[in-house]
Amino acid sequence: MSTPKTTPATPDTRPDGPPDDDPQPPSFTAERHVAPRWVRWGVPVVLAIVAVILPFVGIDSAQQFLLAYMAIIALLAVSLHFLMGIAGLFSLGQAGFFGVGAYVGVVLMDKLGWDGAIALPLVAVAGALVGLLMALATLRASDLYLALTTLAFGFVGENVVRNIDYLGGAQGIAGFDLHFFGLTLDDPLLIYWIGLGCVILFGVMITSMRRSKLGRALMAGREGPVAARSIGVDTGRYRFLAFGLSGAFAAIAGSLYTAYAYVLDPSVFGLTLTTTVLTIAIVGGLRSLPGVLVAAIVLTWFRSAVDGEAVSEYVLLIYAALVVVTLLFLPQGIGGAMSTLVRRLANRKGRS
Amino acid sequence: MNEPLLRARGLTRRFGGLVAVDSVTIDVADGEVHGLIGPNGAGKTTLVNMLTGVDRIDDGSVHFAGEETTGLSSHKLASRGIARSFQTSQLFEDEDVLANVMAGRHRHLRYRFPNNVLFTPRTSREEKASLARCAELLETLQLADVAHRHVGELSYGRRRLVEIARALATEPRLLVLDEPAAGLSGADVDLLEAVLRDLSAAAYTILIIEHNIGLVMGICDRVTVLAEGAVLAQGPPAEVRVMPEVITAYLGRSAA
Repeated sequence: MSTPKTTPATPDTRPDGPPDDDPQPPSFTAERHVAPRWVRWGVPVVLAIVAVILPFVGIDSAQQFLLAYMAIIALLAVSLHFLMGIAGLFSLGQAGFFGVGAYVGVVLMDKLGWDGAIALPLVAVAGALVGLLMALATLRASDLYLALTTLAFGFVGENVVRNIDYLGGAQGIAGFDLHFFGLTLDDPLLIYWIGLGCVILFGVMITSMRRSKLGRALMAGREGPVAARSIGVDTGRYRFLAFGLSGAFAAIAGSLYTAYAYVLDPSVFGLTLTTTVLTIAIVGGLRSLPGVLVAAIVLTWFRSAVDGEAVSEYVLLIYAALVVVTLLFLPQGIGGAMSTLVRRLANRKGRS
Repeated sequence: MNEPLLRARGLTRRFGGLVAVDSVTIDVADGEVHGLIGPNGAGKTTLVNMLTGVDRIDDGSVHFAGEETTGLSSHKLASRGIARSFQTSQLFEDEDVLANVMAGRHRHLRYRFPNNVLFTPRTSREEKASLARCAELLETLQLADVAHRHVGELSYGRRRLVEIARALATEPRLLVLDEPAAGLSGADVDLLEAVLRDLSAAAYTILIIEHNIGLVMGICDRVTVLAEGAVLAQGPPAEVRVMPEVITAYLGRSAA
């Protein structure tokens, strides 16, 4: 056996380092941004303020109801964006959270007569508990198995409420007396503002998380569970967190929906809702909060615009087509297209 | 001699009828670079997977830093200070280099709720400190110029370095490397060797599986030779290299 000559170590490159073209040491930021800081902060803040004062521009009752519905669907879509896009957990269980939130909300606010200020946080807790249960049931499942198990939660919920007379059985319940801080919760604008408030709160939380430890832990669990554990991330724990948080906000959306619809029956657990938010999330771009919000607004508007027309029968078909078209031409969805556009504009500005 | 940092006794792993690792005893002393070598299929990766909690331990015990850690899961061992790289790289593919390395800071970011869901000044302060440390690591591993590139765009050699950077970002007491030089170009191997020497000089404890004998002889204080799941020889590289049984295991009987 030949004695391999040990190669002398290359001299330590750290102190003087290779000749640098750039005299400045590279300055590090956590993310590379094309837009300046004031744009990144200013645009969302301005949009949030516009959204809050939008009802004051004088809109009719139908438009008020549309806004309320948009806020509810947006909240549900953002909960799916967080669970599927950020945590990478393929869930078809959003309708399960939504239905639980709807029924718990009615029991607390209508049957027990509690104020929404107390009831809605409890609805969130109920949704979070269902989320934890879902996480427990799917702890070792991934991909399709995960999706199918979460889907089962919706079916279970639907059949449970169908057989409980107290909750109205298959007929459901109609006509509630709901309150929020003493105000009657049948005003669509009140529903809109509560929903919008939740969307903003959840959006701020998601954005903060993505820049910090928690978001990176979720990212690590999504991109490579084995590697995530090797750097000390307890992937199981973050799975519970993702399901819990997503469930909490989706349940609030369900509660607001009962106030909006004024009737409640087991169909809130239905598959239509799940497919709708899944479409929104995919078309909007799973990873992109702005994209999902845009898709939620546009698709909800579209659905209400065609209501009563002959096309409305084919809405789900159109959604399916949209998903196929998105996956073919814009795999990153609207959000991906928007950020590409911003980058191109910034490059053009940088060159001129 | 003091208590070794890592002390494994009688480690055994069976896959059906096959005994992949057969009562292996191995000590890694604080501050040493310990090589784990052996022919293909000797059970090196399985052994390392057992030591890092990735694979189950059928029999035997592991002590790390004076405490029994037998059977602890991977993330628990990582939070006690064992970091590793993988033979087939396990990077967070859809993220950039810096995000990959920053993820390694997980156990050192102490802020809790509500700082983790609302970006507070405390969050910002700790994130900046971690960012500074990651920038330092990227400089050391000559990855600073690709900090914001997706790891998927990098060359094979640089991907391996990203994985080492991520492991180092956890500030491990024991760094376990599974064939870090495999598939690397000559220049990249030189860089790796320089990096490992720096780490060794900085008193890092390293357990390294490697086929590149030059690298092993150059940097290891001691080596353990595995063959067919069992320890064949242990000792300083210069002594182990000339042992007849080691030569037989590597080159076959006729060469001895």
